[in-house]
Amino acid sequence: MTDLASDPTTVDLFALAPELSVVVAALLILLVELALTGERKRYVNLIGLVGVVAALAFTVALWADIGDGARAAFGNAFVVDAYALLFKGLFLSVALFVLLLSYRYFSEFRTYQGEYYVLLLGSFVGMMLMVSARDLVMLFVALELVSIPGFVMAGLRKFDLRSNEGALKFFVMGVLSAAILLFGMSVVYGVTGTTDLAGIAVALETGERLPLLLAAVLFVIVGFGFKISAVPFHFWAPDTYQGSPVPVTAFLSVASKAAGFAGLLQVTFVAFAPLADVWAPVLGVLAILTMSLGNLLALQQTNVVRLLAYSSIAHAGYMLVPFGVATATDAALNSDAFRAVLIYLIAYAVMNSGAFAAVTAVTRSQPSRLVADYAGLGRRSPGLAAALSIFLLSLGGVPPLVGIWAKFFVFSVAVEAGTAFGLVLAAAVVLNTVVAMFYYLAVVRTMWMDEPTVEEPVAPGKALGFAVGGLAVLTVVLFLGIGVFTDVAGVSTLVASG
Amino acid sequence: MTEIPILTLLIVIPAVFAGLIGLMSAESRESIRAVALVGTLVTFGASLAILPGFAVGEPGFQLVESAPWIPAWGVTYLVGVDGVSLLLVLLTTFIMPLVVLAAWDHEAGAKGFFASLLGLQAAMVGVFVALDLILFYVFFEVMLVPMYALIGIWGGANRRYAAVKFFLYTLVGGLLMLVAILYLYFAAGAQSFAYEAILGVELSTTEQTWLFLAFFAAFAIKVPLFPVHTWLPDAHTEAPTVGSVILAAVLLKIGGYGFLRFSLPYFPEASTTLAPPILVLAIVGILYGALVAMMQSDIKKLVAYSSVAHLGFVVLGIFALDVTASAGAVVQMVNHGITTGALFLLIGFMYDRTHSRVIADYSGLMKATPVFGGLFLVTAMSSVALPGLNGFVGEFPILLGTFQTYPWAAIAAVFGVILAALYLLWAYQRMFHGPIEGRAEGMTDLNAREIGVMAPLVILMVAIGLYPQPLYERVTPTVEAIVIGVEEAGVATEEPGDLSVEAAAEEDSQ
Repeated sequence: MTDLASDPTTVDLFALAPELSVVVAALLILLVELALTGERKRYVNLIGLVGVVAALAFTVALWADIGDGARAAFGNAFVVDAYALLFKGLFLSVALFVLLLSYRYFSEFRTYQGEYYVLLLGSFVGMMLMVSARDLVMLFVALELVSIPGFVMAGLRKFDLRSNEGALKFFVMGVLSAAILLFGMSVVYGVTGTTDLAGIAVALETGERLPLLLAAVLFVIVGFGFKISAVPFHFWAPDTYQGSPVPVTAFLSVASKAAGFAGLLQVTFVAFAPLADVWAPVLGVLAILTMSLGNLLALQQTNVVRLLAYSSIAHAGYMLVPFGVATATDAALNSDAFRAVLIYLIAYAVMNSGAFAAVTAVTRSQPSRLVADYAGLGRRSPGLAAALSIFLLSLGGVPPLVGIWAKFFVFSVAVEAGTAFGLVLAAAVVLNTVVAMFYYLAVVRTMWMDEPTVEEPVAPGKALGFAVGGLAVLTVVLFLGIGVFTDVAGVSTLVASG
Repeated sequence: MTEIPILTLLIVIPAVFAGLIGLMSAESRESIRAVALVGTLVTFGASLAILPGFAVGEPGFQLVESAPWIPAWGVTYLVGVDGVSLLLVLLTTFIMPLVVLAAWDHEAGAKGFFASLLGLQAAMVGVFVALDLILFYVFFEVMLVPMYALIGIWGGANRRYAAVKFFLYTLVGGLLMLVAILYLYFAAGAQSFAYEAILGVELSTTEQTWLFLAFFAAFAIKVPLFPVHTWLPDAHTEAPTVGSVILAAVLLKIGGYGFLRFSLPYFPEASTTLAPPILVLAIVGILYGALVAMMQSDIKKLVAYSSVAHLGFVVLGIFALDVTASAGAVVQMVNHGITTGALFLLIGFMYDRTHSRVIADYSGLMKATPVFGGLFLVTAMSSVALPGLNGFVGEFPILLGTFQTYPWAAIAAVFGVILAALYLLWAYQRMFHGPIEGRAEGMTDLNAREIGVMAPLVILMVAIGLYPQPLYERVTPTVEAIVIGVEEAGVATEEPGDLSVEAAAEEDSQ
């Protein structure tokens, strides 16, 4: 990337266009909401939609523009390459979906609409910055931009004690992990003398392995571990998920987690790649702990949102498996591991968003969110029940749904590693998949095989119905067309350049 | 090639018809079942079109079709048939119209029910024709969902438990197989998941053993082999009639098919060394299944356990590693599908009338319902392998061939044949002879539709029993190639014995 300006003050507006359009939309919402009164306040949602669609359009335009290359701003701290654009596309799609999910929820909820949308869009700007960040400082700023609006959004249901509790836990854990992360980053900077990710890798390649440095690397990983709710930094997740408004829960469990993984990918596979023999086993063990604990706790849940919360912890565990087999020397393997995480995130975003969308629809008529509420849903609303079954079976990894490819690439990279640890990881995923299937099937069974307790069908409304149906179709279509993502060139170039 | 992709059509037609039913109104039960019948009949008709194009005597794959799927990962849509899969595909397409016809009066949730049947058919055909390991795995797992629904939604009292058990058992085996498939893929140079690309991979003995066991887990659960058979009696008993029929006729065959298609050719060394313990398991299954069947008071459970015993014979034939026995095993898979399928249908017809499957509830059915009694007798005779009926032409070669390689196994298995005659005929005697009592009183005989369902099955029982040649001449070349392949691999590591003479001769001539 020598052809790019290394002056930190250079600004490439086109490269920043997706972020800027979302920021503009957020600011507009803040202004316009003041002018609107009562019922009309809900229309600010449309401004958000327009901003996100514009950002998506810029992302596509950038994709066409960069080809195999990249654009950069702020002296290479902000880079737009294929990897970043893929993630931005993913985040913006999720943003679109969360906006659809929020429209009716918050127009019925009636309070803090403007604030909510500004926070939401702000958080998405953070995510987009995160995947373009190639500098520790930039990464940290982006991470905080993702997290802090999340704390507030989790506590939006002020009247609900659970929401307060969830938000407070989220906040305390978040701030603690941010402190640890920042401390780790400062030590890394102290040892390597640079905050540039690629520069750190170069310095680590030759430098001495001080114990302090190794500890600092682990501190940085801990900071991201909180974001992806990996065990043992997961305590906040179930309470926060349960207490938050459902659209926020969907946002936290999909977008925010994906951003955490993106950040973790960048620091581990790029900056800390030479130390893979140190962090890979740690993350591998965390993977096993995370998936096992997540699944075992999910088994005992009677509340659907808590069940999905623990299931999403378990999925974080599966996604950590490719990190566990990374090596300092085998670039091909690292590239495959990197891709496995990426494909998992895409598949997970689709199926988990779908599951939360379907749950939102049911919550509207039965707010208690118990699994028992889903009894006979197959008879009351066959379409919705079929869609939710598709999402749950896909999360469980049953073909012909996209979830199987997520598992497939995880297995694949674990086997490719050719080590005993890789096979142990694969075995752990096998066992956990079976355990997880048990509780996914329990929900499916309740929907189709139990007698309904109430008769009236669930009416999700147009926006939500569109979201659920579209995601269900996508879950099937992506199964057939996953080949599109296996060839993304930029995916491996990030690893190669690191 | 401008030929019609017939195998793909066999997967696509049922899937399309299932989608069609999905679009229909749930109220129009009559048109839904008509569409289902048309769909299965069209598929059966199309499957008959394989026969003229299939060259008899060729051991390899024929009618191969392929299309790229995920080129970057060497995953291809690749289908084709050889002698073994040909028979199993035909069995599947043959049994499905009968199944739909048998479920003609099905009422509760007809839409989902018939759509599940057709979806299941697409996946079952897919399993037998898939020649790419990932494609095979996908079809293998796709079958789970419709079958889960059939058992879980339309099954008996304990259906939830049975459905989950079925699902999880199969899932465990499937996932272990997936990991093993990936291991093979990387061992073969990470180029392709195509069946033949992985065929010649060099593996150490340890690797072979572990991979063999991973595949074995998937297929042994499917067969099912003792001691992982426990899901089967539950699934069979709780499933609706047609669910049991499909389970017995087709799903269980996937295990035996998998052994022949993957286990033996991929892991010849491990297959040879592990054959004796597997034969012991097969024999335990035969004897245990027969003994437990004898103790059953529920006729459907009795037939379910008899399946465990019959499939034990199939595994015995395959792992006897003898051409005669293995060919017999394949034919026996077809026979078991026809015969046990017929038994489940008959029990279902009876249950529809009287709502009881307890043997002691019936007496004198032969007098009360002569047509039903007659058909049951023929089917039972086929099941106990009476010469002249299809059961015999499968079971006898298995015993004959096994006696060549593992005489002790053949001798032990013979007791299973005797026990089979005992439990089925005893049940027959209790239910069909004697004075008309209990629920047999007032039971109506089979109607024209039910006789129509049974007729093709009974005709096949007699036809195969008298003239099994068409089956054997298609199966034997394929099986011969597989068994010789195993023996050749054995020659490389062990001293040449009598069995490898043929293989050695073939090597000399090359």
